[in-house]
Amino acid sequence: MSTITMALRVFESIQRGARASRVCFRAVVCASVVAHTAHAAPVVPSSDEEVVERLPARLTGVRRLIAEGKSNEARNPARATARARALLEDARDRGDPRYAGYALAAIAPWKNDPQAPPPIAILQATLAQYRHDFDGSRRLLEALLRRDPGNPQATLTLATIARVQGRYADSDRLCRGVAAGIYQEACLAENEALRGNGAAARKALRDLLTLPILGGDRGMDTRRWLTTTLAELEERAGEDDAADVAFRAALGMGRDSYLTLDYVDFLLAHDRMREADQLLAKEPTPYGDGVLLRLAIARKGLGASDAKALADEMRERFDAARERGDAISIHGRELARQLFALAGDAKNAVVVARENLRIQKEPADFLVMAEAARAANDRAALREVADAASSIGLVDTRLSKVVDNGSAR
Amino acid sequence: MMPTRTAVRAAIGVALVCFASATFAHKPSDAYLFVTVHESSVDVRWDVALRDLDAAFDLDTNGDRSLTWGEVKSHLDEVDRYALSHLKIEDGRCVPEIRGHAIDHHSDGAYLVVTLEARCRVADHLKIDYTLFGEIDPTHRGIVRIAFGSSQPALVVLDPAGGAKVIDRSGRTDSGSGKGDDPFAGGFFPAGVHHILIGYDHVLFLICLLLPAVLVHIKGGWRPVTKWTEAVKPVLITVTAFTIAHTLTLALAGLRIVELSPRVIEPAIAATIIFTAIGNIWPTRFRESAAMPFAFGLVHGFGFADVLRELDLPFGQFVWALLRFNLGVEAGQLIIVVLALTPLYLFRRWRFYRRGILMPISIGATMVAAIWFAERVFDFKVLPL
Repeated sequence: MSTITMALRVFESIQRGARASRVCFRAVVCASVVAHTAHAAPVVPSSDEEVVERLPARLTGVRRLIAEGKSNEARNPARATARARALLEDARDRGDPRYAGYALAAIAPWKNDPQAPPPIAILQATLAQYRHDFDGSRRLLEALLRRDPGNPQATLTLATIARVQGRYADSDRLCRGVAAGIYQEACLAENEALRGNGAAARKALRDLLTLPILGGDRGMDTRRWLTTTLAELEERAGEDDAADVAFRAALGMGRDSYLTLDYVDFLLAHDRMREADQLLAKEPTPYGDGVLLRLAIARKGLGASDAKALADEMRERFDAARERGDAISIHGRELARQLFALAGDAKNAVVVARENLRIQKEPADFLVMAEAARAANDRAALREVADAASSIGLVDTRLSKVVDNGSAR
Repeated sequence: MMPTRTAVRAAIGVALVCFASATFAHKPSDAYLFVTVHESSVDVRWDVALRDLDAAFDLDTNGDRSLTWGEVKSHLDEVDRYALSHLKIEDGRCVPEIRGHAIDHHSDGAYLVVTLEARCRVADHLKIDYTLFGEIDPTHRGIVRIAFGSSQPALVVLDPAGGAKVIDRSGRTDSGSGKGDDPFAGGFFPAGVHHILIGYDHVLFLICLLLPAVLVHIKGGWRPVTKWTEAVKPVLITVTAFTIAHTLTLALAGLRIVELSPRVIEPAIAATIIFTAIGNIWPTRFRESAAMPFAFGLVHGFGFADVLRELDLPFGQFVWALLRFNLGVEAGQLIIVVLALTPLYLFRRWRFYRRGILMPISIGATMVAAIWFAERVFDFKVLPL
C-alpha cells in the first residue's frame, strides 16, 4: 500500500504545486469517476452467439498452476521453476504483465523465504526487476550470493541491475566475477559501449558472434541478443548505417518484441514512419502499451486518420495505470514520451522523465528526458540531463545532439 | 575461452535478464469495484476482466479464442461462487447477493459486470477483505471507488494479499490494527502553523486585509494613522472576526457536521482575495465593518479543514487535535500579521504609500487571485504556486 500511495503522491506533486495538489488531484479523481460512469453502460448481450471478447492465444499452464497450487506439487521447486520461467517468457514475448503475475504465483510458496532454492530466488529477483523494483531485486540477489557465492546467474543479473541503475564500475566488477566466457565478455563489452569505447566493444561483440558454439539454431537467441547489443552500440555512436544493418540482421534471427520496439525507435528517430508502421503492424494483438505508443506516434507522423483514436486509447491506458498507482514507477519512460510526443504536454513530460531517471538510467531514459526538455524549451533541464549522463559516464551521440540542438535554439 | 553447452544456455538466460527491464506493455490485471454505501444496504458493481476469468475458468469452452456470451453464461455459477468467496464485507456481516450480470469495456478489453447488493447497516466506514485472484496473480489489484450516500467517491487500491481494509469516507484505509502513517507526527500545533505559512492564498489574503490598516479613510482620500494604537484597533477587529469565523467552519467541517467540496471552497478562497484587494483599490463602506472578514473567514476555515480531515481520528482525540491545529493556525497568522504590519506601519507616512505600495500590491493580488480562481474552476495550472 505504501508504495502505491507514494507513487500517487509523486504523481500529484508532478501535476500540481505543493499545496493545491491535494485539491486538484481529488478533482481529477472525481472527474474521472464522472467520466467513467458517463461512458460506462453495461449491456446484457442480446444473443448467446454474440462475441464479447477476442482472447489472446490460449494461456499455457495457468489452469495447471491453479490446480497444482492446491496440491503438494506446488512445493516442488523444479516444477515451479520451470512453470514460472515459461510464464515469464510469455510475459516478455507478448509484452503482457499478467503472465509475470502468474509466474509470481507459481513461486509464491517461497515468498519471503530466506532459504528459497537458488533458481527460485533468482526468479523472485527477476520478477522484481520486471516490475522495476531494482532495489528489491538487488537485495534478493545479494542475499542469495551470501548463501551461494559465485552463482553466475545472480552475479550477471546484479551486473545488469547495476548497469540499468547507472553504476557502471559496480557492473564491471560484477561482470568480472563471472567465469571467463561468452557472458563475461559480453557483459563487459556492454559497459564499454555505454562509456563510449565503441571500438573495443564492437570488436569484442563481433568476435563473440563468430564463435562456432553460437552457430546454428541453438545459438540463435544468443546471437540475436549480441547483435541487438551491437546495433544499440552503433546507434549511440552515431553510426546509423551500421546500426541499421545490425538491427536487420538481428531481426532475421527470429521475432523478439524488445528488438522490434528497439528498431522501431530507431526508425522513428530517423523519420522513417512508414517502415516503423509496417513493422509494428506485425506485432501480435491485442497490442501492448509499448507497441500502441509507437504505433500512435508513427500514425501521427504519417497524418493517418486513426492517429487521434490511437493517442486517445494510449492516454486511457495511462489513466488506468495512474489509478493503480504505478504510472511512473513502471511506465515512466513511456508516459513521458506519450506526454510530449502525443499529448503536447512537454512540461509535465520533463517532470515525469526526471522522476523516471531516479528509477532507471538506461540511455533511452536520458534521451526521453532530453527530448522532452527540448520540446519544452527548458534549457535548465537539458543541462541537467547532460550533467546526469556524464556523471555516470554515459556517452551517447544522440543525447549530445538533442542537448546541443536544444541549447542552441 | 572454452564455451560449454551450459555456458550457452546460461547466456540465453542472461539475454532474458538483460531485456527484462526494457519493455513493459499491457496493463496488469485490475478489477473495478464501484461501492455505494446506503443507509441500510451496500451496493457493489464489480467489473472483472474476461481475460482474467478465462485464465481461471477456461471460459472459452470451444477454444476458438472468440468468447461468446453463451460461453460466459455457462460458467456464471462457478464464477459467482468464486467471486463471492473472495469478497468479504464487514467480516461477513454483510452478505452480498447477486443481482445481475452484464458486459462493459475498460481500456484493456471487455469485463464481466457483476451487480451485488448486501442488505446491512454500515456506519461511516466499511471493512472489505478482498482476495480475488490472489492465488493466481499476486499482482492483481481491486480498484475501488467508494461513496457513502451521496458523498464524493474516493479511490482506493486493494491488494489481494494485503489483508482486510477499513475504508472511510475520504478513502483513507486502515488495516484495523492501529494507525498507519501519521502525517501529523510532528504534532498538531506545528502542523497548523506550517499549514498557514505555506498556504500562499491565506497569506495573500491576510496581506490584502492588512494593507489599509495603517491608513484612515477620510472624505476624499486616505491619511496615515498618527499613532500605532490607531492601526491596531481595526487590525484587532478584522483579525478577530476572521479568526472566529474560520474557527467555526474549521470545527464544523473537521467534525463533519458541514461538508463542502474543495471544488467549491478552493475557488471561493481565491474570490475572497479578489474582493478584498478590489476593496483596497475602491474602498467601500464594508471596509470598516467586521462583516467582511467574518464572512471570508468562514470560507477559509473550510480550506484549513481539508488538511485535518485527511486524518481519521476518534471523536475524543479529534476535538483535542482540532484545538491544537487551530491554535497553530492562529500562531502562524499572528506571525504573518506582525511581519506584514511592521513594514507597512513604518512606510505609512511615505507620500507614495498608496500609489507605491497599496495599489500595486492590491492590483497584483487581484490578478494572481483571478488566475487561481480560473485554475481552480477549470482545473488547469499556469502559476507555479
